[in-house]
Amino acid sequence: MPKEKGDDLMNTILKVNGLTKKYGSKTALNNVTFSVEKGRIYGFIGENGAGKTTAIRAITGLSESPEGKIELFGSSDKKGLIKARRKMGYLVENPIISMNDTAEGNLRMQQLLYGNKDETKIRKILERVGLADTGSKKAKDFSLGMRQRLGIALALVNEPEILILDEPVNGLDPMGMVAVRELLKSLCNEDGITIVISSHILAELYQLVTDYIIISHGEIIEQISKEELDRKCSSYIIIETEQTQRAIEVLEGCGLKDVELDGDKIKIHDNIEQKQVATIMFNASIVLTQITRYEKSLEDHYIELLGRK
Amino acid sequence: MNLYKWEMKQMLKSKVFWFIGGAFSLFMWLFHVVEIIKGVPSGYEFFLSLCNDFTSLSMFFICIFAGLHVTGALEERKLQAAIMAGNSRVKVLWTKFASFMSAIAIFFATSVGIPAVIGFSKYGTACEDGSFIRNVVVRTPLFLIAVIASCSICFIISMFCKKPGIAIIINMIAMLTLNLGSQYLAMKDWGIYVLQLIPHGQEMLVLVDVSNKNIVLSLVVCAVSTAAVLALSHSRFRKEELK
Repeated sequence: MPKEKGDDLMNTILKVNGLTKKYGSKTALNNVTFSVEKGRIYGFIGENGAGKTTAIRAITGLSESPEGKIELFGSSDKKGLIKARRKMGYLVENPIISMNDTAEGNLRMQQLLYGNKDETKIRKILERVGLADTGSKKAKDFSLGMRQRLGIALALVNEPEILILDEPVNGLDPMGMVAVRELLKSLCNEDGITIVISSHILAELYQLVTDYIIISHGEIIEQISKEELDRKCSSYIIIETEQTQRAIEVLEGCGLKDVELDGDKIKIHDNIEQKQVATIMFNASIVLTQITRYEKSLEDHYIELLGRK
Repeated sequence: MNLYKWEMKQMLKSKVFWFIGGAFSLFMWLFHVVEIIKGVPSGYEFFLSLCNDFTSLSMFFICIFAGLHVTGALEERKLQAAIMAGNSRVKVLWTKFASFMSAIAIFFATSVGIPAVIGFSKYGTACEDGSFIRNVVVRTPLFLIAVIASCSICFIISMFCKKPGIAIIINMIAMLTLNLGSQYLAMKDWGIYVLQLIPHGQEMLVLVDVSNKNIVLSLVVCAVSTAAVLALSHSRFRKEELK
């Protein structure tokens, strides 16, 4: 999804700035800063205990008095934040559902909580999440995937502009994961709902998100768009030579546009084969000491970031 | 108002409310049958015995109800849902307390109110120590207010506990201590002055004293103690890390 830099301020619906939370001597969040723009899906990635849920609790109001600033829909004062949360849908850890009630009954109760009386919406939401045919079946008899979808349905009752989902695919089987993923994609693409989804299942997130916020040990270590990450993770050729400057000139002279010098190595991001690069260098009488193709996955990037930290 | 409707609907849909309310009423009605078999001198005496029975049984049933209704709501993350839906913590707390008060009022209406009406219609409305208005019409809400203020200690204990079972046990210990302490004070000449200043004491006193002075004192004591309970609960709840 393309984004216009000039529209960033107008489109930013959640801004977290310098969020710090301590439990006794343990720092759960340390100066956490990130922003969320309208119409995108953010993957909030981190290992277990990284601080994802703590940050989400602070945003949703479950955790009180952290240091720093949270701005939601332009409001950052206490009263404004409480009001702004009415435009937010949530699924924090397990869905908050009445097990002895049906899917429809649970949605009715959620509607009452928001003072929403339009009963036709219940049917639409149930259809949307694929639970329209559950009838009188109680939530306690639902599968884990159905409960997660009911949790998402509850989050949609107030027609939110942003959905905050904490580990919504945890414990789901592959089919359940696909169903939730497709549902979230359609909510973003068709309804324009912004989604922040925390998870440590990187492969699952890769198929869903447009942006990543990577957190580790309570600190944000990177916020990056999928396009940027793809660029960083895409395969490239590394060459080493003692004539780096000349080599770059030759490569650019051959029409290669994405060549960068990284220390004493040259990285070629253009779509070209190793054999062709070797031929170009040979024809220019440049001796290569190394030529390798490097491929990096999201996992590699994540591990590299953690290692660097 | 939406939040209160939501709270009440949740309560009315819960098995806890119906099971405890049903058991409470059943025991109260069994007590009434015993009273009737023993012989009822007047409708007024029957009414007073109903109030006394309510005080005795509420120690047990309201302790259990508070543990399940308040601590249970925290454990089931219902209060958390209300907060995430854009309600302030103070509003969520007040609404929970309002539903707790409403439940006590409903238990009172079914186990004291209805039998009292039947009793007065059968045994007459004559009151040997004053007018019906003062002795019954004024005393009834005053007694209910004192019961609610007295039971609000269960609310604060349940707000502080993490597990409903623990909340129920502590509630029972607290109520039993209050009851035994009040009975001990009632036997002392100076004890009456202390009883006048605590809601549990007023719960006993309003059954014997509905003078203007005690009406005012009872209302003030109940209002102050309930406000203190809510303030203490809020001071804790506003900083609580919710799961």
